[in-house]
Amino acid sequence: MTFLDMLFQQGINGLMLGVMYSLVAVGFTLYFGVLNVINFSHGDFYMLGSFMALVLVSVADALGWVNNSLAYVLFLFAGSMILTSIFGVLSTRLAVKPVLKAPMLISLLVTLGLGIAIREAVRVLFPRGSDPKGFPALFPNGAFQIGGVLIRYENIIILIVGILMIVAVHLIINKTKIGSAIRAVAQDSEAAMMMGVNMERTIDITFIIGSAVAAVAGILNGIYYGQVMFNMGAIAGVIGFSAAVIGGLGNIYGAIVGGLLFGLMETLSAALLPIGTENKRVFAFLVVILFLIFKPTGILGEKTYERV
Amino acid sequence: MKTSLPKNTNSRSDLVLALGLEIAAYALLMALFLIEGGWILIVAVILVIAVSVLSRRYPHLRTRISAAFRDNAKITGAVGIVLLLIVPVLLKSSPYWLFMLVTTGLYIMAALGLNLQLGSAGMMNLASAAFMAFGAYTAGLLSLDLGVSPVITLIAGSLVTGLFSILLFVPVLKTKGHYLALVTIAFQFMVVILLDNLEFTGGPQGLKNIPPFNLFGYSFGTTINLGFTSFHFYTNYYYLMLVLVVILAIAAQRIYHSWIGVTLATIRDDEVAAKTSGIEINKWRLLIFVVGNCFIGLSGAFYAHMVGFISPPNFTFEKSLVLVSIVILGGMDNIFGIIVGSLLLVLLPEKLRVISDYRFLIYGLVLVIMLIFQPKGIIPYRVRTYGQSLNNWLEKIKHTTSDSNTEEKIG
Repeated sequence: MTFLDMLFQQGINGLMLGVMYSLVAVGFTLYFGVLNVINFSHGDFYMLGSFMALVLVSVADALGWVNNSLAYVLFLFAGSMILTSIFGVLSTRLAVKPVLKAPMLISLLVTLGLGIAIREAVRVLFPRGSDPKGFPALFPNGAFQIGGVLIRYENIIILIVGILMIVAVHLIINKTKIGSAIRAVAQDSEAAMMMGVNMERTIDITFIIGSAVAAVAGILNGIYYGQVMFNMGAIAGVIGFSAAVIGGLGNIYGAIVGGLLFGLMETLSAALLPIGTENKRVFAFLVVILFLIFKPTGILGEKTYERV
Repeated sequence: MKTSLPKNTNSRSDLVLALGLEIAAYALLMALFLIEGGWILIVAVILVIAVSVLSRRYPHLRTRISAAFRDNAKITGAVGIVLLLIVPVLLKSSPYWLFMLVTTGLYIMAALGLNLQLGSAGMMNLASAAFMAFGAYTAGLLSLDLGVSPVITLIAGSLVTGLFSILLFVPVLKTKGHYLALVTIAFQFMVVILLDNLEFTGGPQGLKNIPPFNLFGYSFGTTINLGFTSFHFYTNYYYLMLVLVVILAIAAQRIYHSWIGVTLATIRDDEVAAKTSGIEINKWRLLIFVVGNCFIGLSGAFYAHMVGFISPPNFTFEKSLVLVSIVILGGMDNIFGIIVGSLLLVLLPEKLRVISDYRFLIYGLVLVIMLIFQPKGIIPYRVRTYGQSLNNWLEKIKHTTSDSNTEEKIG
């Protein structure tokens, strides 16, 4: 395999990881835009998405419906998105809304605590929840070759599904009425309320979108690695938040750019740096810190004016 | 201070009240250790909730109690010291709880440092476990590879942690709020990944056989043998922990009551106002960040010597989270609150081992519920009142000086 081939291969891998990170980052940036809160439990909804899919798999098993037809896959995706967003809205109403007016420290810690509670609930409620759980291969097997690079169909489909989700979010935010409500609240919540935007409903729908998108990312992650684990949301949350910040907190396209960048940084540092494989995330986080020092508003973020 | 009662009228009953409360709290704590089973835990939790509700409902009760403790500070202090000193005797049969108590002490030491950053200066630090790792690995490596005496490694662990916190110097000064939180989280993850992968830190196996602490040739790893009876070697560490906690608590108290403490509170409450009154924000933020991390590093170094074995899972993000919870739940910028918070958050989960599978679930839920209903912590922060001394000072100024002089002092 030539150097260029290797670069190409890692680029594809990076894009795939990046799409998943982007989907998580979109949630962070939406919540920050609408509620001005960083929801650290968001990573755990990503985990919850994959576990909900597992629940549905066992339900389908019990009903004797085991094939990998398109309908089956769609059922898993849609079901998991619906279940995860129900949990998302419920937990927000119970835990996040009461602390919206509180100082940032409190909301930070509440959402971290909520994350622990969700993670542990999954661990306790699932049979042998502490062990990694196998995830079914939902997408067709096989591969094709371009030059010296082997590309699996599965990976291409993951990439396509991720991009479709991103397009869907883009359309919802920009082309629908509720999308303009979300943008209005993000810009100025008081003015939006005066113009008749239903705040409660907008918040709920924001969390439905965020959780559903995170659930898709969780399922894609499960398909990619072939297994899921109850605590995978913690690191995914940190990466999603990092990606949202690199891109510019509050900007959806920033979150997508940030996620792709983070994925590429991980795979490329693993490929190019001498001790990169184990330390790939160290380099990625180092870049995050550098970003925060030199461009704290991110790539696509707006300027803030509160420097002293 | 209009609430404080005139002296002498109630002094006898005040003394009884203060001593009674002190001994009751102590007895409850010891009962938690010594009595098996979950019911004592339920009793304890109900009592703590009752006290916190009562003190909220009847504020004058709280001022009366704190006045009672203040007026009888010497007696209650002496009784408190005696009670703390006899703990190893009471826990003679359960070294496990003695160990947990020492661990709680370590959390108190680290939380005192974190409180300087988070409580006093309002700087988020979610990497406290990573800084603890610096202290622990410094102590471990120095004593394993170079054979340095543990007294020195303890101090070195603390100082090296302070030095390493300068690594975060630029990001800490340039970011705040959510961004500072992210910087510290990223740093925390980086440190744990590096500890896992670097060779000289022993990788996932960590460092083994770190020699126990010793002082003038007396090894703290030996059982105390008094001839007729003997005490587990944790007793040594218990007393060392007490000494260190007292030193750090006094240091933190002095910082709190000094102009540094007031300066930090100004920075925390209103950065713009602080800057316009001529406070060098960056200097103080950096200073307190380093000093706080020195406290945290000391705690890590102590842990390395006591347990003798450290590895990356000891210093994960979850530990940072526990420390931040201690500071916020105990009560920000409040040393007594830190101690209560550490006891609750470190000892209660241990007691919950009875229902061990659910304890982190309960921990997460309790954290969320507490923060929603009691966001200011168990012992809420109160604005400083320099009652008598401030009045004296104002009197003096009235007599002696002109306006310009007072302004200088305030600045």
